[in-house]
Amino acid sequence: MGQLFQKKEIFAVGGGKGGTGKSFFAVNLAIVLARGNHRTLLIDADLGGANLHTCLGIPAPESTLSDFIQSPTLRIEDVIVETPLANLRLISGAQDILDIANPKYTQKIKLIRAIQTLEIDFVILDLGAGTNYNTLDFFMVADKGILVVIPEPTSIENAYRFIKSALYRKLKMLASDPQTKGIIEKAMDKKNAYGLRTPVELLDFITQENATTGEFLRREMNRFQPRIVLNQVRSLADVRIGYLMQNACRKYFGVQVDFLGYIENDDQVWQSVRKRQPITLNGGYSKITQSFQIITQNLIQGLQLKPE
Amino acid sequence: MKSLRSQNYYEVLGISRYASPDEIRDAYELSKLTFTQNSMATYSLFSEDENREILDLITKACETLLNPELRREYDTYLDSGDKADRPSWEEREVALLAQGHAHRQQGGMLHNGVSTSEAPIGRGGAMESPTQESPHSETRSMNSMKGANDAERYIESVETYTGESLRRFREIKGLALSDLANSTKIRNTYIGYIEEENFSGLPAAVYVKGFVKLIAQALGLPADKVTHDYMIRYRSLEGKNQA
Ligand SMILES: Nc1ncnc2c1ncn2[C@@H]1O[C@H](COP(=O)(O)OP(=O)(O)OP(=O)(O)O)[C@@H](O)[C@H]1O
Ligand SMILES: [Mg+2]
Repeated sequence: MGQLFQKKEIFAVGGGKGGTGKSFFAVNLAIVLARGNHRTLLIDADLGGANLHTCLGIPAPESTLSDFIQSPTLRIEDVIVETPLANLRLISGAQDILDIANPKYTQKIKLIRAIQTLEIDFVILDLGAGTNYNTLDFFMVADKGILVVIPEPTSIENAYRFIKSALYRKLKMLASDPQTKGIIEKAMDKKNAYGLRTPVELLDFITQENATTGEFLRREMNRFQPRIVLNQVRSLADVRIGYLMQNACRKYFGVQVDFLGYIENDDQVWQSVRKRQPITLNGGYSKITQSFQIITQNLIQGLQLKPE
Repeated sequence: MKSLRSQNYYEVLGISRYASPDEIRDAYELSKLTFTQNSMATYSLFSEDENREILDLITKACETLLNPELRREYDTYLDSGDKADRPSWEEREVALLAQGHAHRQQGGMLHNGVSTSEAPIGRGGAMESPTQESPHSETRSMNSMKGANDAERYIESVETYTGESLRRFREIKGLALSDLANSTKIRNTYIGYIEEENFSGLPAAVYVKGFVKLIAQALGLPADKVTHDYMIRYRSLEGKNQA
């Protein structure tokens, strides 16, 4: 029963829009955790565009996450590879486009169960772009979901879409009666017949129909607490967008979003990506490394960035 | 989380019951940035009208909580529980403000596109001064019969209600400012400012809206249309003042 006492947290990194720096963030978060003597497992759950091994500067592993998900005989240990860094291990994603699996929810649960048996402290799932069900499901089964957002309208819009889709999917799964499920399903469509625009309105509506279900879902909604990290920040005004998004989410979604911190836009980042050497590995004391340390602390301690 | 309309002012601003004035002001500044038009953080979530509605509510919340007297009243109100027969806070608040209790002491501290602003601190002195009496006040009883016909004709002739039309209508009815103040429980200086469209002397837009509605009702005018017309005018004139 040793595992009962083992603290293990699963983080999922998503955010909707492509190219915002999700993989960059996931890799460097993993490195900061591993450097801090936490046993860390990085999983490339971007089933369409796996590239974490490249980000880490290691060759493509033979067995991948898809193999584990598809094969009834492979154990999770069989697809884990060591990295040059102590305390950091990797499960790589699908290499070949033909390998792209479309795992069912039960298969994803199989992965999460397997993870629970490992002697490990932290697990990081890099989800890739988009809001398809795979991505949303991984986001929901994680203990903490992180959205990497850049201060641009499209990225912010996608992040909101991501939050809304994840929340509605979660509520729909939790709702036990078909009537409520039906209402949520309809509400997912922006132009629904009920005229429900926001999750807050949806919950009010459900509560009117069925008070017990409404209250239950409201409690679950209060537990849904996505985190955001602002990447590629160029000014102080950009940083403020984190707080503004938080404020907007509270009003629109009725959801508490934690703003973990920000990472500046820095030429060193793409240089490090090009050299396939994660920036936090360079050692030394850079602004970027410092940002990652702040974000990591806030993430594991359940805190947020303190306003200046 | 409750819908915005059912949240109390502390929840609206996302602050604790014990928040200091500085925390209230910070929350307000943040909200102002969040819900301005074309804000990157909200353009894909809220329409312009919704943003304005939220900002109105936030302004109101902030003005109430920054005013020690009103805040005390509000806290008492919150603590009094959610009884069905309890009058709404809006009713209580309009009554308090109308009587000149707890008018904005921090005048001019909160400004955005909607609320009144730039009123210098210490404006309170000017608010106490009596406004001119209606020239018709002495001939009121004589006018009341004829007033009814004039009033009807006047309502038909008005396309858009303004401060001026409120004044004209009050005079047609043969009412002095003080009469209207008595029946609406709004201070006569405020009624005067509303008629003059002197917005800098008035509290935030939401209150003005409440006042105009009360005045319209007291005068027997179509309250919704009057309020609607007046607030459109208010916003456009406010916009010009700020530009
Ligand atoms: N803070 C930053 N400063 C400068 N460049 C950055 C920064 N963060 C990310 N980049 C650049 O953005 C590019 C995309 O990063 P990355 O591959 O991590 O994005 P992603 O969100 O994982 O993309 P995808 O959606 O395709 O998975 C990289 O080439 C990287 O150089
Ligand atoms: Mg990626």
